[in-house]
Amino acid sequence: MKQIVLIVLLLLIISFSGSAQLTKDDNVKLDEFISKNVKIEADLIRSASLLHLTEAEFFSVIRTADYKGGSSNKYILMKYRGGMQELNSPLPLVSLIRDDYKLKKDVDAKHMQKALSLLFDNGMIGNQEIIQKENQWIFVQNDWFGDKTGFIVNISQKGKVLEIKQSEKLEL
Amino acid sequence: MKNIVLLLSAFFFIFGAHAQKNYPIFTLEDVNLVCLKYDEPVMFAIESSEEKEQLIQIDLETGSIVKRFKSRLPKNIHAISICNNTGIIYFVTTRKHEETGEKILNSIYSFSPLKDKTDLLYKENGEIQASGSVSIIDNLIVFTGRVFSEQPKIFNTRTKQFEIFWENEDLRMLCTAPAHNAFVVMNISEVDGDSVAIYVMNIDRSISEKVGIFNSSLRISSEKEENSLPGFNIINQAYDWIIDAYNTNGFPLSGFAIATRAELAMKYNQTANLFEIKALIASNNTYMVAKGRDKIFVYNTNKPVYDKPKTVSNIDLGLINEYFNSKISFKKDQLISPALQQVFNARFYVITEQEKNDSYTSESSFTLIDTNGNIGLLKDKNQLFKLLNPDFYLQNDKQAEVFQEALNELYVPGTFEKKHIAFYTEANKWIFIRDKSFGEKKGFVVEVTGQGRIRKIEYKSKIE
Repeated sequence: MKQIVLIVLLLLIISFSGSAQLTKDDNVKLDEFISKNVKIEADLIRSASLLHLTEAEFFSVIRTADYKGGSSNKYILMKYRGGMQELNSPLPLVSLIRDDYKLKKDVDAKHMQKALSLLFDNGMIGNQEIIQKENQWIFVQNDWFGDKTGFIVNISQKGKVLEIKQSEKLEL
Repeated sequence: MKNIVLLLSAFFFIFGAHAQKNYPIFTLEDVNLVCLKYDEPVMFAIESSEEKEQLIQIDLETGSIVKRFKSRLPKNIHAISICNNTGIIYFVTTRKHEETGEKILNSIYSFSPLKDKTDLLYKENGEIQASGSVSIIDNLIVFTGRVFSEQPKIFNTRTKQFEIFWENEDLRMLCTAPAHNAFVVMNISEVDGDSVAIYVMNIDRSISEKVGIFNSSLRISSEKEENSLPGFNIINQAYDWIIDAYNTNGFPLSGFAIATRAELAMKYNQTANLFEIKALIASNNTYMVAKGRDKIFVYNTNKPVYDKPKTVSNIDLGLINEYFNSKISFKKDQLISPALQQVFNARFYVITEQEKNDSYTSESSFTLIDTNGNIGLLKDKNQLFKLLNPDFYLQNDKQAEVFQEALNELYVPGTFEKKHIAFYTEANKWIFIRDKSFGEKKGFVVEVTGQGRIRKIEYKSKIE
């Protein structure tokens, strides 16, 4: 019994110094402050090359939080199934490519490169190249300390895009 | 990338940060070369679509393409410029030098927008290096070289021949002034330090008396008073237009070349999408054109567009907000302790922002304060003074312990900081050490009155 009383007392002491649950009113006030201190700037990414590839809509979004000293993060979102989805890799793009887009000629490849550059521009795009190898197109975006970075697009015999991969070390 | 950041920082130091940013009035894709008339809202541009290039005419007031010219364009166009007097457009094409790979002048064409007709004016068989900057003064096509090292090359569209700029090679061109059918010139034998006298040479090659001084000094420093930019001191007011001419000349301009034109640099620095700009490619008194990746941006610098053009519908904005509401959540905890209640007249909340990513959740925390129902951000340690409980006095070790405990609640010491936590008093100050690194003590210096009332709280990263 003595032990139980001691534990209860100890818990009371600990709970007195630390954090506590908030009231509903506190929560509302804090949420209001936070939302007032977040700025979301969104732009539709418009490009003829993107239109060649897909009907999906993409947005460049900058979220700035004043409570983080005004620091900003950039996101690329795409409208998908009635909602928004973040585009972190080129993988989800494949299912959104138009049926009539085929990657066969240089012109098609230029559209692909422009679209990929728009959606995955990390500010490091340098000397771009396009290389075709059988059922594969390689899009070099930059040369980073001797390693070529960019994208590999695998296609079917008819030029249908099967896979898009990003690589930090392209094998040419 | 590092270079871009450094350059933008340099521009920030020189021109300062502008609260209001100028958004492009429109953007055009797949356009690399443009030319502007100085007195009309008209722009001509070469558009590359699919496998062909086409000259287009754009109404700058509406941003609409008013005409697509049918005339077949020559290959490898390097520069395009328009004669303000005649409206004739000139294309300069280049070819690669067989050995060095350098771009060398190939040919010059004229194009009449009225007739939609291109004519070959000149074919170069020699090895003239291609100048990036081309401008037209009446019947003269001016190829600007390195200003202080060489004279410009002048092509006469009437005689269809290159001609000498000026017999005395010391005479150099600073810029052209197409609106005044003139060149702004200087004599390099008159260079005095960073300064040189300037003159105006008319198209008939008559030269004026000295009209001013050009100072070419460019110094960039974080100390504003040490900054120095190239500029003019015009002594004859009839020639004030030289400043405008200089600021709308020499395109394409990128990097520090922009900083050498102070007025243009101000306009550049005001652009809302500075990071997207690779070079400025044209400008007149009303418009400025910048080149980005695969697109150009057109700005009205006379009537800047301060409101961000809306490209996203309210429905889509709602979806974007919904996305962030599901991705980012906030954990909120009120800090409660006897020490905080004694020392401060405010409530403190630790907010942890949790951002869900594909395979992990990132977290960052900040502290909010509630003073009589007003919520604010605790961003600076020196804010603490304003939050003090007026009934709290700092007179003895016991009260100092309470103060230190309150600090520990607000700024929880890490494992390596804990061993340095201490306080002591000297004269009318209480010193609360919070950390020590490289032999330097960091912490709060709290000044008190004789009665122990706190009159100042200062956080110092170096406590003597």
